Amino acid sequence: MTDAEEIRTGAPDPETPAPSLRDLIARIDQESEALPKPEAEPPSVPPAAEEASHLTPYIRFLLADILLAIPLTSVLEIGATPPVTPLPNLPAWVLGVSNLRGEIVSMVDLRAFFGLEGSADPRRGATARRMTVLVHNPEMKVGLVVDRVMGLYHLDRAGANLQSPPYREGEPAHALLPFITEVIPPPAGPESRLLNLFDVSGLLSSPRMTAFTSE
Amino acid sequence: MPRSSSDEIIHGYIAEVRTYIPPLIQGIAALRAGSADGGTLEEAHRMVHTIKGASAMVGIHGLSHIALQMEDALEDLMNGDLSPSEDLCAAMSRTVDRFQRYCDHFQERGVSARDLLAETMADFRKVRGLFPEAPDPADLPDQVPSWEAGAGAAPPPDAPDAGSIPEAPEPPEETDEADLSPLLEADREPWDDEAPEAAAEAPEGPGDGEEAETAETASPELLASFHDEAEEHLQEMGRHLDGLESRIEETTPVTPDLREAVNQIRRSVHTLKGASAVIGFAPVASFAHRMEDLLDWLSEEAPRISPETVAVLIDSADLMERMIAGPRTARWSRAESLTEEFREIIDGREEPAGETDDSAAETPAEPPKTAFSADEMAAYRQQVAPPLRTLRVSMDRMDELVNLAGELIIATSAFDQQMETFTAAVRELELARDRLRDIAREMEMGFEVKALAHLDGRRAVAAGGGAVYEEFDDLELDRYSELNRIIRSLNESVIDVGAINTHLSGIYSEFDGRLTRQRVLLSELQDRMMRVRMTPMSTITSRLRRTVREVSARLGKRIRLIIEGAEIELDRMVWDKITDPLMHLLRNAADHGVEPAEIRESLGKPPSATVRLSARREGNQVVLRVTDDGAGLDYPAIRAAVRQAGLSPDPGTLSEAELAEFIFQPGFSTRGRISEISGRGVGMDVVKENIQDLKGTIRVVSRQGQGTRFTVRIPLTMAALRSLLFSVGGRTFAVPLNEIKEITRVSPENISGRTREVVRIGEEVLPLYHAVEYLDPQGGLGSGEEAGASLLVLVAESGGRRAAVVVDGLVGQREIVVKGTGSHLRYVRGISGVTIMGDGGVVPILNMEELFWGREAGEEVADPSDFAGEPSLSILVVDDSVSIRQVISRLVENQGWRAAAARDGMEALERIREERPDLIILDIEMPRMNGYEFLSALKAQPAYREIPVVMLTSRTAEKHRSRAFSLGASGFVVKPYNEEEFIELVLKLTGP
Repeated sequence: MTDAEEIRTGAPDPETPAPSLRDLIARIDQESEALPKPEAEPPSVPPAAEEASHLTPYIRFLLADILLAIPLTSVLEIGATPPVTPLPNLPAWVLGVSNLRGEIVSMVDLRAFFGLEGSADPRRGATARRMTVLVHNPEMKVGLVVDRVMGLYHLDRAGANLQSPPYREGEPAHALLPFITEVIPPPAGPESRLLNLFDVSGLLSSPRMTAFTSE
Repeated sequence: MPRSSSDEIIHGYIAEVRTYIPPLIQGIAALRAGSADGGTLEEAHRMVHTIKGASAMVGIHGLSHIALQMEDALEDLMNGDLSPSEDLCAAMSRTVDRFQRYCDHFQERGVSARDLLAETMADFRKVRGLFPEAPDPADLPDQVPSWEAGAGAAPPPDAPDAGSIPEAPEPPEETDEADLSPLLEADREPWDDEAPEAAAEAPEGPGDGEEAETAETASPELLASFHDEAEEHLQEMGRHLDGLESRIEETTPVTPDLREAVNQIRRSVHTLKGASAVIGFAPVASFAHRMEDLLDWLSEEAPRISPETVAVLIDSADLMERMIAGPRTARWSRAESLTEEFREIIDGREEPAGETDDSAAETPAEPPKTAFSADEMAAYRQQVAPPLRTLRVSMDRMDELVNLAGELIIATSAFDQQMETFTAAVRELELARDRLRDIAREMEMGFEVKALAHLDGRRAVAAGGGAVYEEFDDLELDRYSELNRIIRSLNESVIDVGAINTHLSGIYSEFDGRLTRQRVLLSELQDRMMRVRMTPMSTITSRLRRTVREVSARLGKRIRLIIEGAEIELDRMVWDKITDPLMHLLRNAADHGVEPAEIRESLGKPPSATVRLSARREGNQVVLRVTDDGAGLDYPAIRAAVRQAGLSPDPGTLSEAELAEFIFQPGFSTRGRISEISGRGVGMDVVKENIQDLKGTIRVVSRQGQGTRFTVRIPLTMAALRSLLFSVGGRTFAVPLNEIKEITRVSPENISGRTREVVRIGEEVLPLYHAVEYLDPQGGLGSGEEAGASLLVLVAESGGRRAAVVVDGLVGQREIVVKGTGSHLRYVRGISGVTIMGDGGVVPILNMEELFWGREAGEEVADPSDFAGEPSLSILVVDDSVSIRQVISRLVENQGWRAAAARDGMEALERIREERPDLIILDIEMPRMNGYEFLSALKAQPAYREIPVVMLTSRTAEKHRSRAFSLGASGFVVKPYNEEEFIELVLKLTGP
């Protein structure tokens, strides 16, 4: 079983059909035992309520200890980072390109993009343990290499305690500011982080991302 | 309404039936009048018979059976079994009416076939005196349905009424001489009410008699093949006319090669004339005929040919193309005026005495050659009528096939890798066999030695085994223990394994052979598939030339369009998409780029501007350049427009290169008023968009006063590329194999150079690039190069430069399928794409020109000084002879350089103050100030001392030569000179 298949199915058993993204995320939720269980995260939503129209599903992931959430609608696939072929004359945050079932997709190291510590280095195999979130807009598809995928989060815009990002110069999360629309404070508890709603479409249409269209 | 092909057949057939009706009616009338002879009857019988047979063939059974009734009656009439009574005539007349009804209503509405047949049968039964008159319904053939209609017909109305018989149309007689003249005489536009217009579209419409005739002569298939054929001939004409245009700059005698060109054009015109006559494009045929007259005259009688004549011919070709491509939009009146011009040319520009006389007198002169007799026409129709042996296939289907071929290649390369695994396994097996054999041998030896060493022990064993052979000593009779047998079977197994191994090796080499064959076939297949879609640029050049001609005519500018690389091939679809942007660029160049002649002259430029379109294949890209020698981009105006539109926070600091990019912005224009032809900027965004759709790029470089160049790069995606795979720092890269000229090893002592490393390979000294420095600037890969060891070097040639590239190792040659670098990274400098290997790995394909030597020498670097790299030398010609000045100036301008002239040394000194030339060509003997005096004066001025001077003189004496060199001349050329050597010398002296 190749890595390329893995990102699609994420399943250890090739006999079973590819599980849905939701199943996959549920499994990732279970696997992320080092972190607080999703049930402990605010505001947890019973599965039955998922279909309710006022809830927007988000995918949460960690980037240098910053908890980010992007809308599920902009996500195509989630999986282990496939082998990446570096290309010359690209900024360091573009790790290179990968073959996803015959389609060539570029891989962006989101840590490096924002100049955060501990960027992935494809040559040292550091991406091996990191996850890739394949995002898209009508113009492009990009694999975002993140630290860890944390599972689904259902945002109820009416009920959530949405605040504007409080970051100051010097804080790591400050680098992400242009793309953080709102934050949601954690519920009371020892191991909780601010949840940052991340503007992935803004990222994809940012000048840095679209700089590779012509000479 | 779209029609199926069978529908077309029926449509054509109905039209045929129509043509039989009038003679039938005449025949019946003759019969009534008693003037019919056997021939009339026979003729009528033949036609009715045809209707019967053909109707059955095309599936109109009702009509067939109706015709059968009439055929029987006619037969009986001919045999004398029936008399030509009034009743019979009436019955036949009514039957012909029924034919007519079929013609009028079959396709659109349908006819009540069974009723009509019953009526017909009743009619004839009555004539024959049979009773009952009405036929038994059971007698009606089952094939005839009660309602019969064409595929597109409406549901049956209650009672279809029989249409009256309109006057049957005559077959078009467009080839008749009498019909050719309307073009000359007509003050109306002849196309308007002529049938061929209908032929230009798919014939359709409810049973309209007018259209039947075109349906007969021009089916859509025929039209399509006519258009294909016409396109070919028009291109051929365009090619020869372009040749004439560039060769005939003033009135020249008709030389044999000019005559040959004229003949070639005449051949195309002649063919077009014939074809358009056949297809029913009478005005085109007529116009072509006139044009052919002129060409005949040019080829056979004309003493000289003038540029004006060529211009008239070019106009005519353009008009003809228009007439054929878009009859509705073509300016038909132009045909008339051009025809007038033809005559003027032939008559030596004298007004013809009388127009009508003239055409009458002229045409009979060569009827066998130009006029089409009915026989000829029939013969021609026979030639053309069967559809050409071509097949129209949709692009989608082609794409599918090309993609499949690409997939096959990928699949085969996966197989390749499996084959490698297979060899490895076979080799393993061989090793295992060897090990097994060794073990068996060792056991055997060991056992025997042991046996000898312990004879006693063995005897004991043997004694236990069988006491029968006790009289034999051990050495006299071998005794086999269990162990012996095991060793033996082990040996046998070794042999078995060996045999299997040999067998497998055999299978492997057979596989390998077959696989190689398959690879060859595959690459052949891929190649052919590619070629199916490829067309050369020459397929669009005539349109481009016409665009420039039209614009220059409208603006009153003299513009020469030079097209280079017309043979460069691209996907047909790509040409289709790129034609509009190219036309736009050319129009822009002609409208805005090129200055009016007066301004050009005042600037010292040749009044006739040059616009150059060059196509070149570079790596896996096709590069199209549109260069003009006009004013260049108006940077101050662009800056002002940028400021006005607020497109930049600080327009004042923008470089020229940055400013140039703004012309691609949507809606950006420096002109307040947009001219009819183009407004620079308006549409440039669309041009860029179109090119980006093709994954191409466009760049502009411009130098004030010297011109503008647009460079369009179109990647050859889809293409399978023969490539060389090599490794650098443990990673694999690919380069197009055609760019690799040599693979060699060089030892370090051949490498030298301080700032820029160079390497000597054979006789050549080439710049040396270490691939690892470019592919991995961070140095994470670690180079495979070792100090002091020889280096593996690829000698590459790309973008017109040769260089040596150091790599670590070679992986091999592969046929690879080029893919883009994804939707995010549409362009990566130095990378022209990637390919996916059989194991799913991604290998980048390098654009060596861009990656290695593009950084320092890339002409695309938007440095204006680079633009000068394209020879735009300014050369001063100093000579007292006006003809020498002209000849040299022309030679210089033909190189794309600029020439300035001075009559003597004094004038030359003034000229160099106006513009510093890059080189001076100097005569010795001149009035006022001779060449030597000028040379001394020049060399005395520090600002001009460095300008190289070439003496051009008829003085051959060594004395003159040494004097010139002692004064500082750089070259000495004796008239008459060899042009190429002369150019070489200029290049050498002005080179870096």
